[in-house]
Amino acid sequence: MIFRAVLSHYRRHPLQLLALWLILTLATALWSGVWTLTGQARDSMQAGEAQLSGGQQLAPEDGSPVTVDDFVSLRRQGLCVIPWLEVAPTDARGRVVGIDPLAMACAEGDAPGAGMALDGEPFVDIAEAARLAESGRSARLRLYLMDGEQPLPAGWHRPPDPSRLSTGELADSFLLNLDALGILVVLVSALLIRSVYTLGLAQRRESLVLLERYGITRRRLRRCLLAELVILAGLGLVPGYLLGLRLADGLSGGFGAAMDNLFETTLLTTGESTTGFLVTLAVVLLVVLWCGLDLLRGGPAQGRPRFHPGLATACLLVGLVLLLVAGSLVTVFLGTGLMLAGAGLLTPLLVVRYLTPSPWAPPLTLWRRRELGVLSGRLALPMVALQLAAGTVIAVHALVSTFEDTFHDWLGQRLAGDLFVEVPDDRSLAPVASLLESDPAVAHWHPVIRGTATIGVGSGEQGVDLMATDTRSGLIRRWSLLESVADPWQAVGEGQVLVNEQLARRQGLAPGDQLMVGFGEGQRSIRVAGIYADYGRPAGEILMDRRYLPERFVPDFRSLTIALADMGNGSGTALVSALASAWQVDDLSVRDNDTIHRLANRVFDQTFALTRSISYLTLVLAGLALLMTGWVVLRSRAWYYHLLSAWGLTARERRRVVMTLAAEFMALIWAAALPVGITLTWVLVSRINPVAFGWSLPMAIYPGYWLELLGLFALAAVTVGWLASIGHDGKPGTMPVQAGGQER
Amino acid sequence: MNWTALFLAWLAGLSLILSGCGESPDTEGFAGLAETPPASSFAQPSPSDGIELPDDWGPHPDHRIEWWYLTANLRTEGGDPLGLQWTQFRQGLVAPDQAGGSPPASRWPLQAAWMAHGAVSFRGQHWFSERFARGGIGQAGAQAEPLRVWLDHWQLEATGSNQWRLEASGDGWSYRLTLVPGERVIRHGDQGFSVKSDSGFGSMYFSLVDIGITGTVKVDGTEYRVAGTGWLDREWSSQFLRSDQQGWDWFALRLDNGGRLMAFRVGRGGEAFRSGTWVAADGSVHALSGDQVEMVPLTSRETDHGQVPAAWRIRVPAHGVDITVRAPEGEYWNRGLYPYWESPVTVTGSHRGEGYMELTGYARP
Repeated sequence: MIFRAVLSHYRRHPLQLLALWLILTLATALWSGVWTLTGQARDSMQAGEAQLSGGQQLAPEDGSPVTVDDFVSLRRQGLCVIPWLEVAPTDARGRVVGIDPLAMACAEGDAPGAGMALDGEPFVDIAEAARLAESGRSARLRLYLMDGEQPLPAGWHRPPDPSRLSTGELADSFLLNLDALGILVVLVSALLIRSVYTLGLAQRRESLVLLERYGITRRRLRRCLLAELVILAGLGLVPGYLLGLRLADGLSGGFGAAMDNLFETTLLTTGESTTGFLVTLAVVLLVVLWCGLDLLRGGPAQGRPRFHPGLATACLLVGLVLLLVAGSLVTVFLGTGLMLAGAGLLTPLLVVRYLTPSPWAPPLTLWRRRELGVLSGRLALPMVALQLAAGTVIAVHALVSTFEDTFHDWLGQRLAGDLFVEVPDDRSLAPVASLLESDPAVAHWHPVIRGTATIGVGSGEQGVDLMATDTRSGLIRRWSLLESVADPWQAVGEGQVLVNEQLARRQGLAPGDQLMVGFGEGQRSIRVAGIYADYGRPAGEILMDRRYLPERFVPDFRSLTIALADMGNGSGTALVSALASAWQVDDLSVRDNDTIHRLANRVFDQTFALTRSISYLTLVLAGLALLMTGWVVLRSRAWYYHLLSAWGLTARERRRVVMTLAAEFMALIWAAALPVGITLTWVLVSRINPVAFGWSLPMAIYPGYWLELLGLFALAAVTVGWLASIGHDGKPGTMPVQAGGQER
Repeated sequence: MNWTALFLAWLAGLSLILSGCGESPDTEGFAGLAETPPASSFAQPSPSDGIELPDDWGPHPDHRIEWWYLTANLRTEGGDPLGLQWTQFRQGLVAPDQAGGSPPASRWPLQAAWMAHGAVSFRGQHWFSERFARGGIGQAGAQAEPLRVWLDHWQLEATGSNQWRLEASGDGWSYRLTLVPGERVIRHGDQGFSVKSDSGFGSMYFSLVDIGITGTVKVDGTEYRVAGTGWLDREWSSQFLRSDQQGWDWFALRLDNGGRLMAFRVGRGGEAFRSGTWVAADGSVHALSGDQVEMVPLTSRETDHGQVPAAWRIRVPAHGVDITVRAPEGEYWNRGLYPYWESPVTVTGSHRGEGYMELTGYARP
């Protein structure tokens, strides 16, 4: 009976109940979705590690490619060796890894396949991978020795493993980045849920007081309200969690592809997990507890919002110092968190200061300022939530746009060519070199030889990617370098190397430094001539002129980059036929510039798809919550607005005043979001990105986008204003309750 | 004989591994070994097949499953008994009429899968290892002449006239043995066709029951010179286990009067199918039908994996056999993909002797 009376509020305000449930559900969906995805990615990385944990790659000392016979021979000698057949991705299908579950049993010391989640893409039986390799896809067989203590047979050695090149924990940092975004979502949605709930509670004060007068103890009432909150949270939790799984499922395709492309980590679908549900439950309970704190303290927070200028300033200062000195991602996040907290605490204070009306202002402006002050107090929590959400969206947009611009320029330099022709195995470059030199259809050309090398790190070695090319080529010399010695291409032509930004950052290399580079036949000390941007590659890479490659260097991949003098009249086709004929092969693997551009763009779209989706969904959530709370608050103050008629304002004018009020309020939030957005942009591009991806970006801001966002806010303001003013024309509205000298 | 249940369990596991799905194959007639053969099928064994040696030492790709199975009761120089086991299984995954020839190794074909088990039982302790390999690439295989059966570095191979060498090793154990197989080959059942169920399904099955063995066995870092006698089973089939048949109890016993007894029981209780072979001291071989063999568990032993009947009474009244077969103290679980009990045994009663006992279907799930 009491419970029915307590719940009667929602009978009168069903939309409020619906909105509260919706926000709970959506917020739960968002954070459980992010949690599920990052959890899956982490499990996948651990599974990838576990597959080869303790394993070391084995390779013939003579550099010849590994064969099935080698595998059999090593197994017959008693070595626990497992095969790993990696097939390169194509347009239609991603990377495929062929494994032999039967062979892996010796590594696990248990039944084959036990404890491994290697079912599903990209893991396939090695026979399937071999079939794909036979169909023309580039493939490479590797062997891993799973017992490092076993002595190696003659003719074999342990080379640096290209698939295990040091990536500086990039993948983990990438996920940490998403986790941080997930935590931000939790914070924003917790603010929203609390604000919506406390608003509803304030509205119900009257009926609760009435129930007390009927003899129901306050303690019992609180228990009822807490029970109601828990039930509501429960109702939101289950569909929210399920929706989160669907969300994760929907985003996992792109996210999985991004993980695969960026870090060669395959996303394994792990489905529902008890832990995932429990974490979501714990978060919901924490949020509910926060909402319920007021109940435990004896009712919703009383009086004006409390400001903590000292705390806000301290948060901002400490956060800034942490951001400036941070060496790890966790410190960066901590600093960012403190900065955001400081901004959240400071914003209502600044808004109130700003709104302090000047006594000389026109009466209506004076009234609007005062009313805005009241609204800022009432809507402090959703206002801060929307400010943080909008700030995040601004920052993510700036990051993605800056990246797109930078990446397109970079890709344009890297793919300066019309045709990219794969050199067939066992074919020399010599027969085609003279052909390409003499063909008038060819404007420029250069070979690209890819393989692996080692660099000396301390007393040990570390594997890096190696690219060798003809650095005299006009196409290569168009590359812009981040840093370099004077005349870097001349230096590279004389035997020096360039290193990618990732390697330079990781090893603290600068132009002019010496680097110990090993090619499997001893090390050479080589001078670093410059540093180039190398987006998307987690590993370090060195670039050198191919004339300085050791004669016995065994490349993983060779190709020719060809710029045609004239793309028309089938010159490309004729050239490819001539190359095939020179190499005496029937077919050549050829890719054109468009295909490669498309592939590369797809990779980077996928990289930011999730970040972008989460930030927009958070904005939508915050916007919804603000619409709802704004609407409720404005409607609760309809009585005051009606009093404006005493000033001679017509209903139409009053509506316009309310609209203006809503617009000013939204503009305030928008303005407050800008510094947050700019700071976050700086944190993302200059602090987080180098740690999470290994490369940095120039800082850029996009005021055009801010205006677009302002337009969106204006739309929200008009909607709130319109919703608040409809149905009140000519009616006086309800006079607010006076309790303890405070209007409610 | 016996390994079918074990093998089927392996197949179940194998099919899970290879298919990557979690559905239990038990409901599907043990990974295809149902009563009704599939349309494109492996060859079915029958009494008319007969046993042809030395060819039948080699693989039978027309049949779905087969194995080479050695158990041995040895003694160290100090007189301590030591039991050992070596087994190699082949499972055909693609029927010969679907295989379309032998693809090159570079395609990593999976037309057959192989499994090998090795175990040593000594002073109440038991060491066991399991290995797997795909057929068709040379990692595992078998050939009849000269005999060679291998999986990785485990290998049984003929090293001379009437002499084989067996080498295998695992965690904490290894052995290197010389085997003298002898001339006597026991064909079980009807000309080597051994029935395994009332409906008449069976396998081709023959044994060498008195293999002279010498060599070295190393356990926990200590090497022992050993000598003794082994029993090697050779068996192949395509299907013979009904999906409702559960549990196998198998015995291979050498009695001190020169008699040799192989007896097995498929299933439990009154519905169990029993069969066996009695080899008299004079060398005559007698196939035993179910009503000629009585096998009763006497005592159970509580172990980590469940209760195991560690002592049995076996009677073959027609040949005056009434014996008690007992496993030594200890636990003899082969803790592989599918745990089963494999222990040396001593024989008392109407005859004394020793041998091996395999029990499947007793492990707690």
